[in-house]
Amino acid sequence: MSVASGISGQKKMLVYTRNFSNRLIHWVTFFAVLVLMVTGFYIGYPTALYGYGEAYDEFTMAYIRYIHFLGAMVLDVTLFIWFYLAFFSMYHKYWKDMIPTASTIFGAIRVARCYFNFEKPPFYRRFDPLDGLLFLVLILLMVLQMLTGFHLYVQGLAPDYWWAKVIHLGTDWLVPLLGGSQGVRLTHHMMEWVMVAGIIVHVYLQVAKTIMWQDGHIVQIVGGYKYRDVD
Amino acid sequence: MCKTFGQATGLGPDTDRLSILNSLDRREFMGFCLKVAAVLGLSASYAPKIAEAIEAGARKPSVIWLHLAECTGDSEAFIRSTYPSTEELILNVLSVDYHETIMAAAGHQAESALEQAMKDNRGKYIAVCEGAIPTGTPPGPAGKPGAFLTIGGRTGIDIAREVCENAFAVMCVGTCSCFGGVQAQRPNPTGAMGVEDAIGVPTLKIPGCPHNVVNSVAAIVNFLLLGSLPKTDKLGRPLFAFGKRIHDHCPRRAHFDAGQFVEKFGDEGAKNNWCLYKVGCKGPQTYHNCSLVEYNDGTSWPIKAGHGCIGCSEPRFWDNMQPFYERLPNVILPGVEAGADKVGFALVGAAAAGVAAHAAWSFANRKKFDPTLALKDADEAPAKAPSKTAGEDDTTE
Repeated sequence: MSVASGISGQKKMLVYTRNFSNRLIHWVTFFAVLVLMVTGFYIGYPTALYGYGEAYDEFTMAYIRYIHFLGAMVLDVTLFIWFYLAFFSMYHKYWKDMIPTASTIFGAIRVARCYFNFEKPPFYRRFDPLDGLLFLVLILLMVLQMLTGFHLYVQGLAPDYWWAKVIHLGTDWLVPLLGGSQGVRLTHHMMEWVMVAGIIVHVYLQVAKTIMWQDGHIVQIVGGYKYRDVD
Repeated sequence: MCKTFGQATGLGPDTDRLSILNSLDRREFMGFCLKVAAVLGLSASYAPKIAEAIEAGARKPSVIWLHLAECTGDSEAFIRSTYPSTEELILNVLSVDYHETIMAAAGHQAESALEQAMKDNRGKYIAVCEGAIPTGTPPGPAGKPGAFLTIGGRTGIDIAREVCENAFAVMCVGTCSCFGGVQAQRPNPTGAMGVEDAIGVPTLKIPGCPHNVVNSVAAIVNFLLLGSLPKTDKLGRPLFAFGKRIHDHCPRRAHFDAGQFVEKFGDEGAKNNWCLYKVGCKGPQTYHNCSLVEYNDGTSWPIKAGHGCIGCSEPRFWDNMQPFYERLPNVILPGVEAGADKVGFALVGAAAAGVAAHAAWSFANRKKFDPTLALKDADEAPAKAPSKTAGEDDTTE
């Protein structure tokens, strides 16, 4: 057990909080989402990046869409693995931290209050409840992006192809729900804005709590450890 | 011709139709059969079978063409047929027994023609519906459901129900009869809806505003050839025409893949026939074969003419595909209707502003940051030293 001192003289102890799969999933998701946002932004606001000559000189949109699809496949597989581990992990079943039960909601309010009165919340080895609810929103957004994205993708495939049939089966119910395929497109677009807002809040909260509570919170996603105050 | 036409509309019981097929140039007729084979996705070797099927007079289907709440645009489209020519189509490929616009009869004569046609071919005729069916009740004492459309004293929904329920098959031409069309646009005061929704009879749908006559003829030939209706998608549109998006066989697709886009109408890109995606083309959301068969006997179609697709063959396109010159629909929240990106910017801006405000406020109050202990463990049982419970990964080092 290693014990260190913070700036305040408070004794601290390193605690292993994020195992390897947590960290790997986080960073794969990070890079996949980054690629998807950059390519998605181009798809949303496309322009000729170079050359205004003949169409056969350029293949920009097609390549960028291809990268977008690859990124989406990576994210979707990661998301499936995440869901598997969230429910069936040997170590910690994350879904328990993310279900908005009464205790999670009260815990989240308690943690949220700490951001304003600068008291320290209890030590949470996993997600604190506020983060848990935020991650629930982000995960649900990713699921929605996956479903709407697959639906937009499958529109270009021949409908009697088995892979297309699977996707149609999985995503066609969205169309009446979201108001036609334009609604699917709009949802895919708007949810990305929501996701950007969510990521801003997520990154800010991690930075803020690292500074306020001086527990090295933000580096746990790299090294797996963070500090916990001891007597 | 006039005499034959009158007979063909069902006014005479002994309908002895003039056989245009015998007088028609054989080469032209085979050309038509080949074209139909192509539209149906069959090989050229089917052309003789198509010819046989069309020539088999016994199976020449009787057609009752209903005009409901519509603009006759689909009849206009229908009579733009060149191969087969309109008269050939009306008299020989089909036997159009009732069609209010092109039949000679009027008034009571017309009504009796409809009754006669239904009686003669009960269960065997093809009902073609053009136009939506209003189901709402007009205000006032005389109002009854569906009375927004009244023909000869009967509501459109009554007529459609009687005709469609006794038909062998019901084919809807045009978006109005398929999905409601412009009449069913919000707020839809007449309660207009597509034929299938209004009367509950399954229909084969050839949407489009107007529909393409090649598709309706191909659907009919499919019926003549195989005795059944073509395979359809979930919405009831035949797959041979509505199986793929406009975007997927668009002549401007190369410019889409290249990233060459018309930024606004009249710019350099527009002059070079670049992709219309950014000026609101709904080709990526629209299943239709316009780009293959084109309109008015292969003359042109919107994207060829430099205008984006407005998605006219999709359900509720007047609502869903709006605005026609924007890529994405507007976000409609209670009391607000704004462009998608304005809402998005507002949302991200609000998040960023909130975060920045909290950061600034926290910085101003940084002296209050709490150095005291936070030992109580919310995650597990309270413990000063982290507990090592079974099944947990290592907690300490």
